[in-house]
Amino acid sequence: MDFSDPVKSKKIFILMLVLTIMFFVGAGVLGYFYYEKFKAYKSLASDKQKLEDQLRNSSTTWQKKNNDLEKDKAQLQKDKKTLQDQIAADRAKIDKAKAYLETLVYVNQLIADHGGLVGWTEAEFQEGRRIAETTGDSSYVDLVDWCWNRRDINQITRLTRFYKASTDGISSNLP
Amino acid sequence: MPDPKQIFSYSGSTTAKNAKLDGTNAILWKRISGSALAITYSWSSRISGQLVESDTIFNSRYLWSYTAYTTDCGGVAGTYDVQNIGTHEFGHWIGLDDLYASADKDLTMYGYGDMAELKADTLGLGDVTGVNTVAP
Repeated sequence: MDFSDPVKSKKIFILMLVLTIMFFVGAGVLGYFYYEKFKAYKSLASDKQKLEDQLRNSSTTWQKKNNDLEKDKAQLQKDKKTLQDQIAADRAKIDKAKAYLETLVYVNQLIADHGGLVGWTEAEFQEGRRIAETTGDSSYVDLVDWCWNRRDINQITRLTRFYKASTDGISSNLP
Repeated sequence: MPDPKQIFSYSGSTTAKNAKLDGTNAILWKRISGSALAITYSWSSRISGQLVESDTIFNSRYLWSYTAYTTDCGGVAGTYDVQNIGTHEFGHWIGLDDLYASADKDLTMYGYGDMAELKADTLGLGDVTGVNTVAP
């Protein structure tokens, strides 16, 4: 290259300048594209992470509760328990009253069958006694025994005592 | 200069309608059945165990209000205070659990809330200990 010719040198200088500018502009454009790609890559990586988190996450739930409602709920549960206990106790009493009534019905049927208190068999008495035992009331069973054994006294006395004990048992066990 | 202790910052409103894992920690208002004043849903990574997102739903069945915290009076009667309940819910956002023992009734993380209550606005010793344990 001949740099002694000032005209030629100037041309070469201008050419070099243009080439240099083109180089920097080109580098800038390439750099911009690289930056955009890098940004897109980062965004994709972030989305990927979110998707991975969705696949690999477990969830937990916490609740802050209304104290008044919880108190009401606790009170209602207490009331419910009280009512359930009451119902259970009432049912037990009804069952007991039914046992007295069944004894009464059974004896009444025997009276009707035999036309009075005479002619009852031991087996019939034992069945009546068994029904009386279902009341769980030993004094009632004792009275049934007494009524069966005391054939020496007025029959009406035997009968009225049995009826009274039976109706007392029913009355005292009505809820 | 940002407060180095600040964990959360407001990033604007959301169009989310439900609590779901969507990359946004959302606060929503929605009708919830049952006695829940607010529910916080949190998701954590099964791999690292770290919380990745939390959403809170305030129950719109109840009336809400806001009263700045003072020691000598409560909030608006007949309403639940947003900050009072919200502070509790943000405790869940960082991984604190509910407390139900009566000995913990004055702590922010106590699981029951009352109307006009403001005491959960400020943290108790148990709350601070919990925070320092899960987010030192």
